[in-house]
Formats: sequence, C-alpha cells, structure tokens
Amino acid sequence: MRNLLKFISRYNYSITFFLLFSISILLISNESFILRSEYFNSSNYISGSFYKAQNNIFSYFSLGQKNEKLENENLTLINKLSQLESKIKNESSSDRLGLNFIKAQVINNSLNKSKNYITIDKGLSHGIKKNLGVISTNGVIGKIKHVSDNFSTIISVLNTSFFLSTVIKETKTLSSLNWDGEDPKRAKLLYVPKHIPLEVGFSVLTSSFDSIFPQDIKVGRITSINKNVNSNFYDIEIILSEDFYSISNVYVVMDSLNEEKVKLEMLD
Amino acid sequence: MKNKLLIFSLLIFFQVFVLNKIIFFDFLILSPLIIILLLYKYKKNSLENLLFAFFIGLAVDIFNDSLGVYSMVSIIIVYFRNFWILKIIGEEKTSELNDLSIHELGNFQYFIFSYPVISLYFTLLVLLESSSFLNLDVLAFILLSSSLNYVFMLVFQYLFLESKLSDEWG
Repeated sequence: MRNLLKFISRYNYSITFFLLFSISILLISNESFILRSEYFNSSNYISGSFYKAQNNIFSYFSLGQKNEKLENENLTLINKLSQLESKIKNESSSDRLGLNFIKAQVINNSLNKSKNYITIDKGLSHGIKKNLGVISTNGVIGKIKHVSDNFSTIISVLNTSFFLSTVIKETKTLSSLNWDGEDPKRAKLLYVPKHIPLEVGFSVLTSSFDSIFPQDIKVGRITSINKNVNSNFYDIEIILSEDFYSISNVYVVMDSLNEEKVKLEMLD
Repeated sequence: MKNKLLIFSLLIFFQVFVLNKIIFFDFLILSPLIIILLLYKYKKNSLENLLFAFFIGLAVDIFNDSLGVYSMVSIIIVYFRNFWILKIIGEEKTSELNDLSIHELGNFQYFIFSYPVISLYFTLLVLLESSSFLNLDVLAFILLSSSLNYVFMLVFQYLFLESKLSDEWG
C-alpha cells in the first residue's frame, strides 16, 4: 500500500495526464455518455443563449439576403399548396394526416467537421423531442439529437454518422444516403443494385421508412453514377437540394401518428 | 490576475463565436486557444497545468459540439509543451522563467519552442475533428495554419505582453 502511494505521488503528473486523456477518449467515442446528452453540447442554456444573441446580431446584417430567400420559399410553398389542393380535389382521402411542423431558426451551424451539428432556437418547451426529423423548404436537414428547454441540436445530414432512408423517384428504388465527410454540397447514395437502370439527374426523396421524415421530401439529385466498382451496388454521388452554407429557417416535423406506427411495428 | 483572466476569456470568446466559423481563403484557421495553451504559466510536472488545459478545452468543446476533441488536444499540447521546453532550454533555466513568451525566450528559441507545438496542435485537430488522414492538402493546411497562428501569436505578444500586463502574466 505504501509502495502504491509512493508510486502515485511520484508519477501523479503522468497518471493525471492519462486519466484526463482517457476521459477525453470516452467523451469522443461514447455518444450515449450521460454528460454528452444532458449539458455538454450547444443546446444547453448558456451556449444556446450566447448563440442566439450572436445570431440576432449577425442576422441583422443579412436581412436583404434572407428576405430574398423567404420570397423564394414563399413562391415554392404557394406552388406546393396549389398542387396539394388540386390533389385533394382529384384523389380519394387516403393522404397522410397527422403531420405538424414547428418553425425554428438556426442559431449555430458547423460545416467543416466530419460530424456536423446545427443548433436551433426551439426546445422542450416548444414541444420538440429527440429523434424528430428536421426539414426546410429545400429539403432534408437532419434529426434532433439533444434537447434542452429552449434549444435543440440537430445531427446534420453533413454528419458521417447520419444515414437517411431514401427512394429514387423515377425508379422507386429504396436506398440510403450518407455523407462521406468531403464536400458539404454532395453526399453518397448507398445500396442501389446495379441492375436498376439509372440516369444522372434522377431525383432522390425521403422514403418515410425510417419513421422520422414524411414521404417525398426532397433530398437531392444524382450527379454521377459509377458502375465499375467491386460490389453489387452502384457508387452514386448526389448533389444535396439544401445549401447548408445558408440555412436559416427550418421546420421540425411532428408526426402525431408516428408513435402509434412505431408501437405497432414493435409488436412481436 | 484579473487582466489575465479577462484576456483568456476574450480569446476563448473570440475563438468560439467568431473564428470557429471562419475559414480564411477556404483553407486556413486561426485558433486563439493555442495562444492560451502556450502562454499559460509553466510549472514543471504541474497538475494545475493539465487540469487548466482540460477544462479550457472542454469549454471550447461544449460550444463547438465536439465533446472531447479540444479537451484531448489541449492536454496533449500542454503535456508536450512542458516536456519540450525542458528539452530546449534545460531544467535550470526553466525555473527562472516567468512565462513562456518571446520576451523571455528570445526570437530563435521561441520559434524552436512554439512552432512544433503549434504544428502538433493543428495535426491533432485535423486527425480528430475532420477525421482526415495525412495527405498533401492536409500537410499544407497544417503548415500554413501553423505559420498564420505563429504570426498571430507574435503580434499578440508584442501588443499585450510588453505593456504593464506582462508583469501580471506569470
């Protein structure tokens, strides 16, 4: 015991170093580490408030740009609305009900890492929960990762750990989207078998199979198809429909029927 | 002491809310955290040095959603810094130092001391934060960002450490 104490007091500097080093590794590697999910991210009250204040200042200087973007978004929404109205008139009432959207503002957004996150100014008090999908008028943004009372962090599509269930519109082929950590405007489309006839320009939409996003939300467009790979699947690159450099307003998808669906799927 | 705390806080604030969002020429980053880690007072085998590095790294991590990355880089840098300064100027001289600034070490010794530490800082950041492997682009980024931060650090020291503040820095 005495020797052990002697050893510790002699090497306490190196021991402390390895202890702190191990804690850092634990923080990096263990995503479900309790501290990570509660306070140690930008959705906590202090950093969230700072980011909100910073965003308020910076957003003032880009009002013109935002206005133009909102006008474009308005136009897109008006078009979509008229399409939906005519669809409702023409088709039977089998459309999906129970979807609500909560508008939120992006107050922090990272792009230069392999695991990027976005912070928004809405949290538990606004009805936001973990694992809800987040979209914009241009397409998919990500899903909610951490929530505090007034803020939430989103695991962005530009995060190498994020996989999204997608479908190719023209061929109805199921696939999976993942970002490879390289270009923030492009991502990879995985698990599309080589026998499916594909063309550059085909649209990629959400499939809704992951119970996070509604069906047919824009994800991107195929820009390159490589068949010469040593696998049964294509190597496909898509250009993302959302420009992550300039996102400001997003919508959190609240699907009131989702819980029922997940419960049912878990039976047996 | 008050001034030191204030400057450390301002540098961290600057890093988290301004410089973390800016990539100069789509390629270079400026990181004031390395200034704090290099200029924080030196003590041989000091637990305080390690704990300070860990917590200041953790503070950056919390705002940056990169939990563990900056805290790990910070403790490695301070551990290496304390080892490296001993190798460069020896134990006898380090005990006479008030701080590890250019005014105490001189131009040449300061370059030999600080440049490898800054390069190691950016190498670790690239490996941990971007998960990039070392290739020519990454090497160029490390070299250029290290040089930019070295110049920034010199300017910072000439602006702030020659004033009355230098008496309080140690």
